[in-house]
Amino acid sequence: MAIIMKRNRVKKISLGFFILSTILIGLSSTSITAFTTYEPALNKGTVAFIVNQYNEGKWEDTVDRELDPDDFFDGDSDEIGARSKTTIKNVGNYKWDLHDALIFLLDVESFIDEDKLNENETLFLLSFLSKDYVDEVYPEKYYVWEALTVKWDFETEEFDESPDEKALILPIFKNPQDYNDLLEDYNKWTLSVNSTKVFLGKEPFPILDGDDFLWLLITSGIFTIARPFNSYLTTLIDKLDCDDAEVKGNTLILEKKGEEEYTVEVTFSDQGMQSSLVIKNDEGRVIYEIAQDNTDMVVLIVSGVIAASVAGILIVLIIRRKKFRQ
Amino acid sequence: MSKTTMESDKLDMKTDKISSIEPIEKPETGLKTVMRLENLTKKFGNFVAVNNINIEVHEGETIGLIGPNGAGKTTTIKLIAKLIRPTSGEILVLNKAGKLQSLNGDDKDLVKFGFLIDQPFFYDMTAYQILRYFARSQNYPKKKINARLDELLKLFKLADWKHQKVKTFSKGMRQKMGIIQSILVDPQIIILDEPQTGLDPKARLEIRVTIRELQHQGKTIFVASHMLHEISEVCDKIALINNGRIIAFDTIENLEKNLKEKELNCQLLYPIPTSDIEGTINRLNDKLIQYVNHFMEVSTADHNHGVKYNPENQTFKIYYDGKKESRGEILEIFIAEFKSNNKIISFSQPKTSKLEQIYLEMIQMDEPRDGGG
Amino acid sequence: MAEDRKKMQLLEKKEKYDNLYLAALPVVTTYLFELKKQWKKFVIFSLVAVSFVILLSYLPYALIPDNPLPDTQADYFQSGLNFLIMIVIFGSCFFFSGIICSEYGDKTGFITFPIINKYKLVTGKFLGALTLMIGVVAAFYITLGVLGIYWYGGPINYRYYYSFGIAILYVLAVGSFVTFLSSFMPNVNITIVSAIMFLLIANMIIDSLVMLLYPEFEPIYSLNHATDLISYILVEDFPTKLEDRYEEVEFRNFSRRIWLTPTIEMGITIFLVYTIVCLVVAAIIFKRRQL
Repeated sequence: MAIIMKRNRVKKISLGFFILSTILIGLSSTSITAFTTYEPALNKGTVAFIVNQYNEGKWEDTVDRELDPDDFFDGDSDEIGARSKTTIKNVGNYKWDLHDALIFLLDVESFIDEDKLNENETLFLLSFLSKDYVDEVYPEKYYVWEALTVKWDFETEEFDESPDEKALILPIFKNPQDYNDLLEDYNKWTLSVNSTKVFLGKEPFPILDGDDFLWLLITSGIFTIARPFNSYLTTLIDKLDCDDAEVKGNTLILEKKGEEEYTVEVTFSDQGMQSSLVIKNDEGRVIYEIAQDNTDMVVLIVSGVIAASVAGILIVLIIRRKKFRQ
Repeated sequence: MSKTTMESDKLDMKTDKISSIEPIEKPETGLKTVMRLENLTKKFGNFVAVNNINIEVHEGETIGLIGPNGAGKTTTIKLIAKLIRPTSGEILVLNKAGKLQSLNGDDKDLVKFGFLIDQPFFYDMTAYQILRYFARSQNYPKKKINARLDELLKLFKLADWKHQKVKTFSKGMRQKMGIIQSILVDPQIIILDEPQTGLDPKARLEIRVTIRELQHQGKTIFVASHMLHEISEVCDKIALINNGRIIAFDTIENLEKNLKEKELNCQLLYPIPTSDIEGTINRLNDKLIQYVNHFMEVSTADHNHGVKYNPENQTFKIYYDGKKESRGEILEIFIAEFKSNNKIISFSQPKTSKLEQIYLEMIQMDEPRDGGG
Repeated sequence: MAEDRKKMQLLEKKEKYDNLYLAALPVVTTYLFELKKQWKKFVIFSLVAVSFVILLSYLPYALIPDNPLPDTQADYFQSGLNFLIMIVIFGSCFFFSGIICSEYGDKTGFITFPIINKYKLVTGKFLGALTLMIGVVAAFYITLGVLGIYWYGGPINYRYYYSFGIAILYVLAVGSFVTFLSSFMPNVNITIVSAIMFLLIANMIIDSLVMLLYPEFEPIYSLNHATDLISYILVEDFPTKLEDRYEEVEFRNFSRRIWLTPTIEMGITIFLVYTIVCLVVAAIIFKRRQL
């Protein structure tokens, strides 16, 4: 009898140990999974940006004599105090393919210089951009979170009521490695396009390396990352094999060479959007800076605090009056 | 001679010798008239709620308007309060310049009124909030409001309830609130409709004490009630109203005295057969028409009610003009009527005639009527 | 002599002011009392208004990621304001329904204590109810405005303030209509039910019938039509041409016009006409009504 009881106890202890082990393994595996799985941080709402600094002379000496900031960042981005804003309308799950990337992310259509090409050549090139063609040759799908936005370009005046871009899409690739696959596909596609007779004697579409691609992403204005940001950015520059990029926290630091060497620091907000962009010369002096403009939020928070305080005081007064009456 | 006169116009036309209910054409010299109702009539369709009432109220009097439910008391008061418009007639009220002014005009120059009409209901606020509103809206000095409210709430034993919502109040407490609001701003004329309704005996006594207090302050008070015994002791005069008409108006003493003097009882030995009662009464009424108390006739409208027969004690009650000579002639008529098959065993004037009893008898003589007072 | 005249003038002036004060006092006191009396109702309706905004203009966007925000702040306000009509109709029914009939039906009012002029009494009550109802509408607008800033940033589109102004006119018109019903209805409950039935159902039926019988006729008599202006005024390019103010819809060979909005002038006129007519008729009935 005692032996049977002892066996039962052993059985019970073994079962308990098994369950405990299962739970612990489960927990640890969850944390491992959580680390490697990215989550979107983007929420609906409006984010505003402001040009805080722009040293035109230094820009020309350091970054580019030909191109101004507005060639990279649109609107009046070459004016200090100019503001832009983006309203994120919704966020959903979608699948992207190379065609989407060529159109929305890399804006390849803008590479086509219509002044140097005749109409037939343009049409011929556009046929390479047709969805049917791209999908057939590059069938790979990429999982993304996609945010539908409207965007007001940089303005020094009050914003117009209607946005400048009414259906701007921000993709967040669920796996940062996909950017590398995309880059490879793009380069393959570019090679095939460049090899056509259209480009004989003309400037072909650029073949991009990881650093170029990353810069293109940054200047596209729609590059957005998922949480955890540091891991995402690190994986991204690793996979793209970027030589001139490093990650510090939520900040991506790019070493660039224009007229002279300069650095670009892109900081991502807690939503994964680019919240600031700072261009510094090799002496560390800021040449150009775009930052997130939180003026509206401050107003909103201050108004909220005032309203809550007034409501609180009223409630206290009412309660005290009631107590006094009683 | 009374200070105040109330009458119905028929009474005015037909009666000339009954001093107590005799209309007084003009008030006594030196007495200021604060309110006068002239030929006041109110009809609701074919229904006459108030029938040609003429009332003159003098300063400092307390008048009791007494009548059963549906007699026209509240209608009369609502007419004074401008809650309803008269079908004909006019109400004149003293203005600040000391002259009588029609109630139809701008009332800003009139002396202050205090009203308690019907059973008061109040919005669901605290007693203090409601009474403060009444005081402020009548421009009662702001600094004195709290003291005045405390004084009145204490007087009516509502001080502990001043911050309670009125919906938690009993019927009696609401009635007290109504009375408080009516006297809150120290009005010159106070009009109370059934002030004792819903109150316990103690509270009713308090109301009477309050009325007395107001009398001492020289207020003119007009109280409507169906509780004669409750009101009579504080009133200078009583006006009995029934079927929309004033059927009697005088001091209580005069009413008792005069009504007693104008009544005769004639008891028979044997009862009259039921089939003969109506014929006998009609015959007697025809014969007695010249002696009949016209005041009673007026009060009973279409019926010949100078003579009333009670089969239980085989007694006739005769309301006559009170003259000594009439008494003998009436006796002769009765003897002639009953000499053959019946015998008169008593013919007398009642020894006592309490107002309450007279009131009840007068009321009973009328047809029952529907509707509120 | 001149000094005496001056004194006399001063006294006359003082008397004039005193009379004015005395005339206005019952209105002001009743107004303040009405505010106190309906305070709880105001809090409840304000909470309902705020909840409505949160429920219909915040939660659907916050909880459903796929549900897209409108493009602009003005579009967002426009969609959010659709629900204001319900708040105004129900709120006005509750705030204004007792203005006259509660004085008669339940005898809960002050008319049974005829110490102040009954018109002044009702004026004070009307103004009190109007203020509270405007407060409820303001709570709605403020909440929606704050959410507008929350989603789109500031500043608030200036046409939003115009919309608020028009909404106040709408409150005035609906309040006057309910007051008109209150002037002859026996009690508050019947007034509320009748007002809701008319404003929600009867109005819609009449509009549909007119649309069916006279497809090209613009319903300038309709309060519903005028309310379109509250949200439509937020449209950046407010239509000024007649043909831009309606859409032609074909259904089984039957063509009908769906009116988008009245012109600004027309909308304001409709509200004012409703207000004036209803208040004048209510005043006439009130004058004749007896307790």
